[in-house]
Amino acid sequence: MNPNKADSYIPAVMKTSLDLPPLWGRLSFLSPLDAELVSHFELPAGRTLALTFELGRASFEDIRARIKKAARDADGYYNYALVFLDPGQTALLKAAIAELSPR
Amino acid sequence: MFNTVQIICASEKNRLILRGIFKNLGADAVFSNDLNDALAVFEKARPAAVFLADGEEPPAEIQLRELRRVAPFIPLLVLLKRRDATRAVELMKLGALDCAQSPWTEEELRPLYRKALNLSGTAIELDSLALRRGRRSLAAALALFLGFAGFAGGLYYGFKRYSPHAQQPHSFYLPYAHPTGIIIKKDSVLISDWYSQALYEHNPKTFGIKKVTSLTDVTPVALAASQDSLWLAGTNGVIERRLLDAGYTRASKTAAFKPTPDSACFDGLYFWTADSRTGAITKRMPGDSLEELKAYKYPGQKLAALTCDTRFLWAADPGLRSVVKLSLDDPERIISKTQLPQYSSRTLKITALAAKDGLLWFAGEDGDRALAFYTDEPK
Repeated sequence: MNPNKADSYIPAVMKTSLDLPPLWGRLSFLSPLDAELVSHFELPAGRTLALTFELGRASFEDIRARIKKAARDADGYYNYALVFLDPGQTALLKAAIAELSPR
Repeated sequence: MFNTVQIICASEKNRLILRGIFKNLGADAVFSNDLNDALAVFEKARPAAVFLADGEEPPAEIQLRELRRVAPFIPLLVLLKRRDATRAVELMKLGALDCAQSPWTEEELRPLYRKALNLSGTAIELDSLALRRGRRSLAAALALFLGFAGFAGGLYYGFKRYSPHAQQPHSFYLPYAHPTGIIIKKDSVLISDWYSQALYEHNPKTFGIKKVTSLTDVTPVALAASQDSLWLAGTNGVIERRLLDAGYTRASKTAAFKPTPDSACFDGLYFWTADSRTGAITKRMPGDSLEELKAYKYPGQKLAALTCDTRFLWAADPGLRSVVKLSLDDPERIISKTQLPQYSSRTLKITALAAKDGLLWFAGEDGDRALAFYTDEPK
């Protein structure tokens, strides 16, 4: 987590299962194929998540991703490397990122 | 590490839980009842982060907005009363760094506390390439600067060493012998004396007397001031509220309190009295009757005089030879003890104390003379 940008990262709701209440964190990196998420909630590598967040004018709901790698930082926060699973959803993400990128 | 955190929480029960948690985390926690209370002490407390309890008045959204207006870069964390990810994300969009779920535990709050403390301040990375490029001119400038600084330092040292200079005194002998109360006004220091039954108004720089007001029907033992009133405690246990006009006209008076208070102060919200003989500290409503809210036992060795500001209670303790800082929320907890060098005089008896603008003012008797002095407020 880059200290200078910590509170400007994108807040996101993380659903881990239908039975459990959702958790939350911040997306510290986002590309059409993968992302990095910072949260103080602990989750194991390999777990599948559904992420809900806003990007510019677009809202994304239940974007499915798998935790590829989990690492705990010195403060006790977890940094998760995520891979998006649904090609249809990644196409929408790509369009939103392209819209926000400087031309 | 700078570890002061401010916690905005009205519930006494939750404060108790949070006090224990933050103590275990090693934080210096400053509690505030609500947003107004928090903003009033914000400047003085200078917290590294602010934690606010959700579900109180005003709502967390308003508290976040106002706190960000006052301190845009301070980490703000919301303590949710239940696990609600949608609300957490909404609050994070409004400026919260993160939200903690209920139940609040040390394990839950530790990462948030650590992250918040690591985020406060601004990290700077130097562009070393540009630095290398300008190294030669920098070295020349540095040598020039050092030469000039050495010359200026020598000149300054010589001037300080060999020129006589007037020192601003921090201690003043008083032309009366039995001071009992002290309050600091904008441009004067007001001291009561029980023997001469008078209020003396002094110039704060020279301590020359500007005005004397005779108190024919009161023998004053303590003084306190609020924004628009002067409070005068008498030997009979009655506390009078007087107007801040030329003659200090009496506006109201209380019933006689037992034990007779000999220290009084107003923290901006509550009125406090103390009795040095029993060590009893009493929190009161600031109305005309000064109704008692709660009584506490002074936690130090011997209470000589007590005062307060908007953040702390301060006590002079001859047993500990110290100034003792107490929490306004829990006066039975000592925050710090700081040795007072003036207590090296075995005959010094401090009878009055006042706190204002980062200074602590003392009045008392030393042998057969009375004196007033001030020190910087201890950390």
